[in-house]
Amino acid sequence: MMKPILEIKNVSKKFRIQHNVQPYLSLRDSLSSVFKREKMTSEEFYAIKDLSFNVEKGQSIGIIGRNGAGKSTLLKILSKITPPSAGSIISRGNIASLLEVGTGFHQN
Amino acid sequence: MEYEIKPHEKLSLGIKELWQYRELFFFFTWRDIKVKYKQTVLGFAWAVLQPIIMMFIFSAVGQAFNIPNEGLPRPLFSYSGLLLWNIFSSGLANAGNSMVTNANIIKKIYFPRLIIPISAVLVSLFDFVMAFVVFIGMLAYYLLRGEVHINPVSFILVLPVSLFITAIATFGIGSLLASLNIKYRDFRYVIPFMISALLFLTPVMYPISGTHFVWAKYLFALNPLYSAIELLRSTFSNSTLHIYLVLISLGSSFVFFISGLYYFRKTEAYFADLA
Repeated sequence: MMKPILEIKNVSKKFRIQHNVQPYLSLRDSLSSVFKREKMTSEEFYAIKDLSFNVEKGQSIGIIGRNGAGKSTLLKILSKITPPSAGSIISRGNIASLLEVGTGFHQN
Repeated sequence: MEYEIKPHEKLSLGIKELWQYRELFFFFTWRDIKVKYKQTVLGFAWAVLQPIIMMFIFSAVGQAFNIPNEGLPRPLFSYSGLLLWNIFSSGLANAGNSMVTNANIIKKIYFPRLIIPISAVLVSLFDFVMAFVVFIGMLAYYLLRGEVHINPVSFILVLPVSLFITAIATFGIGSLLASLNIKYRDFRYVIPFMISALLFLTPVMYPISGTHFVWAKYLFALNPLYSAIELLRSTFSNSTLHIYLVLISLGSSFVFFISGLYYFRKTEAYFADLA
């Protein structure tokens, strides 16, 4: 029995959604929130929660889900672009990822 | 090849990984050099033209206001400062914005993020090489006219040291700004402002010996470029080297290097989420 080439164990990815602020960070907001007493409400959002599965050698796998289900987030974690918040992945092999169209284009 | 992907926790330099991706240094640097001079009529000549024009301006201003120049011919005095200053200024501008301009790549593929600011500094070292050729010509001209004396051994020894100090300081401040810039885009406006302000705090146009205030000298010595420029100039001028001031400046460049590297490594995992 060969070891699976991809072991995904209890992977979670958490994002924080902040309310009442612009969708980007700015230094002014960060500084003023230090002085302001009123707490910015933030909500935790799990894009992926406690996901585990194995991929055996020779398997082809499709991941399906609605918009925002966390498909791309999983692939981003697999290709090391963004770290998982919890859990671990053991990979035995090379990962070649092609996320989104236009990778490697330069504005000029 | 077996490896594990885990939440971001441990802090390491990742030298081994950088070495695995060494080819990417070349490609990023070469791409940036090519893009920089694309669609320009003069092309690479800009790398030489900029310091030469600045040299004329600085020499003229220095002459007009009688700014001391440590007994060196004015053009040589300002050009030697500008050589290193340009590595710093262009390297800082490139490195500081590098993470934001490369956000598209960061979001799509994985590679050690440090490659981006490092290759931004390498691009400005390329410009330095071009400008340095002119410097050698100038030095030879003044040597033949007997206006300067150079100690060739110390020049060859000191030049890499000066370059090294400049490069690590540029990289340190640049990577610090790059990681701050990706989080707070405010830093896009801080960088050019900082560069033009720092030019007046760097002994490019004037020597630090021009001031009578001792505290001012120590304040100047906090600038990492002070030691780099002063060391380089000391090999062909008669000015005495203030060893304490040089050491302070050296220390400050290491502090910038380490803190920039530390902050960058600490925050790099989340660049893709923020960009």
